[in-house]
Amino acid sequence: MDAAIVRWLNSGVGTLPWLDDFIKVVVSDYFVPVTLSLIVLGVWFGGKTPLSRELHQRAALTAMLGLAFGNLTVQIIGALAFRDRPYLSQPLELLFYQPTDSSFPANPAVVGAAIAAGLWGANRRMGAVAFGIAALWGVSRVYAGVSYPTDVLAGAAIGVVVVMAVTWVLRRIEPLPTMVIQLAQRFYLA
Amino acid sequence: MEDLGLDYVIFVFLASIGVIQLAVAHAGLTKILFLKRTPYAYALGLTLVVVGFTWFFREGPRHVPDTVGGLDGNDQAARFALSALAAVFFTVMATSALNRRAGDGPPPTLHGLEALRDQTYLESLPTRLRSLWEERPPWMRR
Repeated sequence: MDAAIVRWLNSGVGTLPWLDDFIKVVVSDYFVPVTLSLIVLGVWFGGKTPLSRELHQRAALTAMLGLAFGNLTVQIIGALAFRDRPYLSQPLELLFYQPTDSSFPANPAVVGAAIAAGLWGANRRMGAVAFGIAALWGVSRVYAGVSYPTDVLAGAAIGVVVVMAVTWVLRRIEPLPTMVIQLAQRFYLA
Repeated sequence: MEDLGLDYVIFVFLASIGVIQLAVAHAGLTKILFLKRTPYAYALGLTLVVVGFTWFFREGPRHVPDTVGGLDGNDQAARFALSALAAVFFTVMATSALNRRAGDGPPPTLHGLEALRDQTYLESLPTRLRSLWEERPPWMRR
């Protein structure tokens, strides 16, 4: 089923050149991570009132910590349960270079979901936009032939769960997060 | 591939300045805007973001494995953080010069970024540094 979905999606490569060009940009290692990180940067500065700004800044901190711990989780799982990339066993037309790390879980899905889940806590609309961008990145990885759908779904789930755990920990270690924001406020950076 | 790393830094620096302008225009923090009028500030911010993205993705091959010159996750995170910080620094310094007030004004009465509605960053900072010095712990006093 997993392989069948990859083959089905990937069979579209070459039929619409403009779509392939679009996917080549989206699937890259830079487009979505930079976009999502810039959204977090904008969220940090963008609250209209001091209260909303603090809420946004807590969400930005959560997103960034979720990203860091999500990446760590991927490294651990990838080392324990290595999965070959789909292009190694399926006849696929690649739109990306050939990654050699474990296909499972999909690191981009973890990154995207972690940032989106972190932002969701402060601003549902911003979180929804970020989830949409993350989902597009995940689908593009399958279309480009470098990840299985289950790798992407598992990655997204890991990203969300890690952010839930980070949120729980941040509440437990108060007033530390508040002190970080207050320190930035003292220098007019929050 | 050193060019990719440098291209990435420039890309993030430009785009970060643009995003900061969009965000502070939305928040009404006028003293860290390059352009006073909000529609122009939004236009400038959007332009910088679009220019940054367009330039980076048209400049050269971007599907490069990190084993042969691409940026791995840690490298990318570090470069992003440094570029974004540089963008913040550039923004507050440049807007402090552009938006400075002639003569002395009252010390900032608002806290955090809120103070930057009425005063530039460099107008606000001395008051903060002075109060930090006055609040220093006893062991730092002579």
